[in-house]
Amino acid sequence: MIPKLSRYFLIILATVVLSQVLPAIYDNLFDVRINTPYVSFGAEKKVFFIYNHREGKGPAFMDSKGENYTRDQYLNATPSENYFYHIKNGTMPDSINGIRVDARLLQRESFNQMTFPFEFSQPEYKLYPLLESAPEAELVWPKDFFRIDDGIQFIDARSNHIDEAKSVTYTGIMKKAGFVFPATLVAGMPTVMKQWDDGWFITDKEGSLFHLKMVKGEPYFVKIAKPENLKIKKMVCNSYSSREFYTTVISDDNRIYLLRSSDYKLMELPIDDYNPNTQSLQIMGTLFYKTVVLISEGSIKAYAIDRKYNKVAEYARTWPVKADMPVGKIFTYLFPFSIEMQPANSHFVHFQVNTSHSWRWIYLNLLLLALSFVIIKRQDRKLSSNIFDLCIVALTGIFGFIAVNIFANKEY
Amino acid sequence: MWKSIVYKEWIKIRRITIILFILGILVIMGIYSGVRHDLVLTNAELVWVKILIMKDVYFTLLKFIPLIIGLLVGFAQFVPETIDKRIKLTLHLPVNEETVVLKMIGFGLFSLSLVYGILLLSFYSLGSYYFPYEIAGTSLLTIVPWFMAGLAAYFLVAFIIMEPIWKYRIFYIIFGTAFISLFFKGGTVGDYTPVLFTLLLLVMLSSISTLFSIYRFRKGEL
Repeated sequence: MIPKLSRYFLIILATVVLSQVLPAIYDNLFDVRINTPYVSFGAEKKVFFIYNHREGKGPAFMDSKGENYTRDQYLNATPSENYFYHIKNGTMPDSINGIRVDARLLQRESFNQMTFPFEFSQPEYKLYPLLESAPEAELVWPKDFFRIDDGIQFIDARSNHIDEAKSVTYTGIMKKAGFVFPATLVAGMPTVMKQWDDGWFITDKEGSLFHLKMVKGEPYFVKIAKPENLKIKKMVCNSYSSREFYTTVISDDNRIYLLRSSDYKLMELPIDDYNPNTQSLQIMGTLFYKTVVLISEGSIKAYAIDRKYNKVAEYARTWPVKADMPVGKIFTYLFPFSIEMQPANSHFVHFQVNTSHSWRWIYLNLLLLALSFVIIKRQDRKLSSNIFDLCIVALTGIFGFIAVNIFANKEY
Repeated sequence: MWKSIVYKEWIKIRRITIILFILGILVIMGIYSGVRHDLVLTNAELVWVKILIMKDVYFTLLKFIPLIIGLLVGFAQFVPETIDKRIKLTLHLPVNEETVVLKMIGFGLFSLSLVYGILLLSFYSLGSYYFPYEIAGTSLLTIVPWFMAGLAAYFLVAFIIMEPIWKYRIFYIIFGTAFISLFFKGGTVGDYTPVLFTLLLLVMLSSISTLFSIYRFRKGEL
């Protein structure tokens, strides 16, 4: 009985391994490049510009009204975005949309931020540096790093010991401001390659939002007012020179807010179809508008938002995804399911079972099942002692078929 | 019977196990002497920044060591059995064949667990001397799949060496390589945490695989 059990174990193991390895090899061999267009809202003509990469033919520019542009026409139509080009050529206009502009102003107000699905699911150490936010010269790394459990604790890097005095001071200040330990989210931008540091945006056990930074060696800690029903899922911090907003806040129900720097007010963006599991979020800002772009495998949606956070235009486009192409269709004929260990929307390793969206695999499964019957008959084996094999082949198709045959059933 | 099996198996694997154990300890000491060097000679906070923010993996040197240990211990224990088909002698003893083989595997597993256990413990202890538990613990969770790969490799080596037919051996080597590759998919520290239990289950599925080859060995499929 135990040798039989060892065979069953091997077959189950091989089926799991094959359902990861074979689809991965197939995907690797027959991958298709899909070029995602670049979309931005032109402040001058008030249309979206779409930049497409065409295989072997160079870039193609068009606008959302369907008009085609050459590269030069596109650059000339968008000085507020492509100001570098115009400064170099001496063609920079004095004013755009009736506002006097210069390169510094345009540069200060420009930013481009990308948030990928995996940023919502990745390993974190939960240790953070608290930089001096107003240094006399450049930003430097602190000597210690903090964690927030029952209190905030600063751990000195050289000695690996907790700085008790500093920890007690900061814990006291945080408690005084109403912080309920421990922290649930800690978001910041830990780098010294920027001009200043805004510290950390922290949510406490009850979901309230706080701002922690260090100013001239002293703690700065305030509670930020937010709607009671707003549950924060993710914050993306920045250090854009416009200093318009500290962080992009994504709520549990996938609404997007910008935390305004001037008054800590959460400004909601008029977008209600963002899905962080499947879409990348791109926010581009210029002096005049923000373009918010939601990019998924087979579609792009773009929203133009003015400086008062009102939607002024939107654009959407879809294109065929791999599943609609011959390689994707053949995949569904071959594999009833697949195991994905590194899905694109996570930096964790998973055993994610992706079931097929169609029933096309049933033909191959039936064929392999019939073939298994033939093999059993030819080898003069009893049907009754091969029920397990047949079930595995019927359920898992090609994976199980290979497994039961490399671990061949022998009757003695 | 236990005593004689332990004695026989120990003679086969003692030299290689001790050498590989020392190698493992030296690698871990090497890793942490590097960490100590950097903490003392550069600014300590930069060492932490590299780990916490640049997501640097400071212990990659260890990556394939458990796998090599598992493979070589498996070779040392089971290759001698195939020379002149000595295993047949064991299997012809008036005792249950499965029990004998399971005890052989059991002893190998025990030796490996001991070696792996001490290596993991030293890795974690030295780690927590230099770093807080966030770093030491996450690093430990990162190396655990590498050790599981070592165990799986041991089971599979035993199983493949005992397999009497070369055609199947080749299939099993390919299958084994594919299986072992599942333990080395990651890229960042702590990324395997959600699947550690599943991986352990898969390793357990491979644990008695040798019985499958022994069954056929015994039945004279040579």
